[in-house]
Amino acid sequence: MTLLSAPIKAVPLGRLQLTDLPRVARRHPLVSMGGGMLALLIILAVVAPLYAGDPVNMDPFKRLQPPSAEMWFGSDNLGRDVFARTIFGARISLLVGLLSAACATLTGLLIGVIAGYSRSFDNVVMRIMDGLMSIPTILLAIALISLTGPGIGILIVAIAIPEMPAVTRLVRSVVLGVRERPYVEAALCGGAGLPRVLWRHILPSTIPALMVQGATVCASAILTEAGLSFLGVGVPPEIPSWGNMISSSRLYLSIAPLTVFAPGICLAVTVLAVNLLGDGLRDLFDPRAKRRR
Amino acid sequence: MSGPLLKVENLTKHYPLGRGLLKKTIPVIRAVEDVSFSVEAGETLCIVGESGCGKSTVARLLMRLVEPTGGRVLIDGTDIAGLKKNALHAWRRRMQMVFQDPYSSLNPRLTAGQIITEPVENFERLSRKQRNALAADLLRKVGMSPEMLHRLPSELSGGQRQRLGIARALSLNPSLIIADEAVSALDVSVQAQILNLLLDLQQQMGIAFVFISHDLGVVEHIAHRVAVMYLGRIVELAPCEALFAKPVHPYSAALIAAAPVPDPTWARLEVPVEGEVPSPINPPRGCAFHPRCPLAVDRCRTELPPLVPMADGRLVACHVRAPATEILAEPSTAANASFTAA
Repeated sequence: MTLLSAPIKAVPLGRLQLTDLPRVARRHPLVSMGGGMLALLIILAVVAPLYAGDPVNMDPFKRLQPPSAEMWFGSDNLGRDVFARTIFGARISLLVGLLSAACATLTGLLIGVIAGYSRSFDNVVMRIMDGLMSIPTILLAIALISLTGPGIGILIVAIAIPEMPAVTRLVRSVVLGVRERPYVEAALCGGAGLPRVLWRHILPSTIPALMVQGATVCASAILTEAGLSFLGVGVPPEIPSWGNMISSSRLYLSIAPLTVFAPGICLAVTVLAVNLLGDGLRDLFDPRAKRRR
Repeated sequence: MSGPLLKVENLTKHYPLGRGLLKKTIPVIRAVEDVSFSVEAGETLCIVGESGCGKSTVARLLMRLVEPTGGRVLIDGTDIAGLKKNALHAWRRRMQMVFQDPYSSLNPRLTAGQIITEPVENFERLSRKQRNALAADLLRKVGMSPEMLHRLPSELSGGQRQRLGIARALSLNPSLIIADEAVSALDVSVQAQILNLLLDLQQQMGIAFVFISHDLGVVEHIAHRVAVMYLGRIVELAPCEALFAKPVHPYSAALIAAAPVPDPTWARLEVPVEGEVPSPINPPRGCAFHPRCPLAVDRCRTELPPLVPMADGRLVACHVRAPATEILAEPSTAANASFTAA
């Protein structure tokens, strides 16, 4: 069995070099598309002050204007530049999305490795995770934010907590599979201590699954942030975010449709980019999954 | 340093089935029962037996990859079965293991050099230069080119991978190497190369081997002494030539008769052994082999035969072929004996 399954292997991560990038990109169009879109969005968001106007400046005389050379997407009900707000909103969405994904995957990785490796912790930790999984994201966020007041930090924590158990489960299952591998036993025979076994022989195997899961978490975090902001419990209203924009402009949809569609389409495109990247990464790391479809 | 390098006394491993929270008695798999043997420096002891007889568990017990249920493993007189993790660390240098599967026993993400120097790095810090020199030296010892240093296991053949496994075991200069089916996964021609490599290393460095195999052709080629296991127990422990020339225990005889001989004119000796291996969860009373043994008498069904020494120095556990005399038999088994059969 092992002889048969051995030749089907994923791309060896250690051997990928910068010069391979065009080849990998061509062979995995999803990764290049998703990654490219996401990279473009990040660059646009980071350099926003260079080309976009002031996103918070109000002008009551220019309320609900149609698109013009001055304000490309027109203005909203308070006379603010919709284009600038959309671009600056990308900063919030990407920041919250990436940071919540990072928080959820890192804590999930840590807890998952401990649970997967230690039989005694496993039961306790996984029951706690089951409990966390049953908490609805939106309710937890509302509860936390009503305790501390709105802020981006608490929002990230509130989104990361319910996402973390899924990562923990995934990491745990990978660790459970890898810890029985003969090469882990061989490392133990060679006198390797627990830190070395975990760091060198077990952690690297979790990275592919972790990256795929990280992308999924990131996409859902962006959506959750928008949802919470729309409900008014997310990002404070003075900070432009896509959820805030849709929420405050939804009454003017028929007069100035771009005030809702600009952030809405951006939101959809961002989530699509992250999901494409995640799907592509899964194919990249597991060639068998691709062939089956 | 007198006495044997490795001495195993009454080694036992039971695997409980399930977690018996409510049930009082949990069924156990008796993987290894009361196994004792010793290995001298520079000697090769082979452990043979069919699948599931506990030979791999013995290897894992020797390496402390699993904790023994009972018994002692003495290296130079020190019991390592009872050592704590920290004290055990130092003893790892004395014995190393070569694994069966050259594919899964090498971390696919590490290079050949990283794999074979890792054991040394667990004990001392190496500079990059020292590490490369050590890796090149080890590769040369196992007949590989030092240029393979930066290869990944996936870029090597099965034989080369197994050479890496041996190089990894050699890196700590052990006095004992435990090889668990070390050549079973390889082609016959590659098997021969690896076996000759092991024999060369033994001659050059005086390494003792505990070689676990189900391939009697391999065993005959390399063993000094052979232990035959059946259902977790050693049934015969004999010098290699003596065992292959004249197996005493009926199971050894059947095992040797069943091994294929590459000679079409060779008439196979028919030793009738029927039925399946009994379950180690519920082993037969008395001699574990009696349900399949052509020689079984009533005594075999009730009383466990002890391993008794025979005139030529071998140990055999069989009531018929090697009846225990009063002096040699253990007092407990002698007391329980029922001699109704005649």
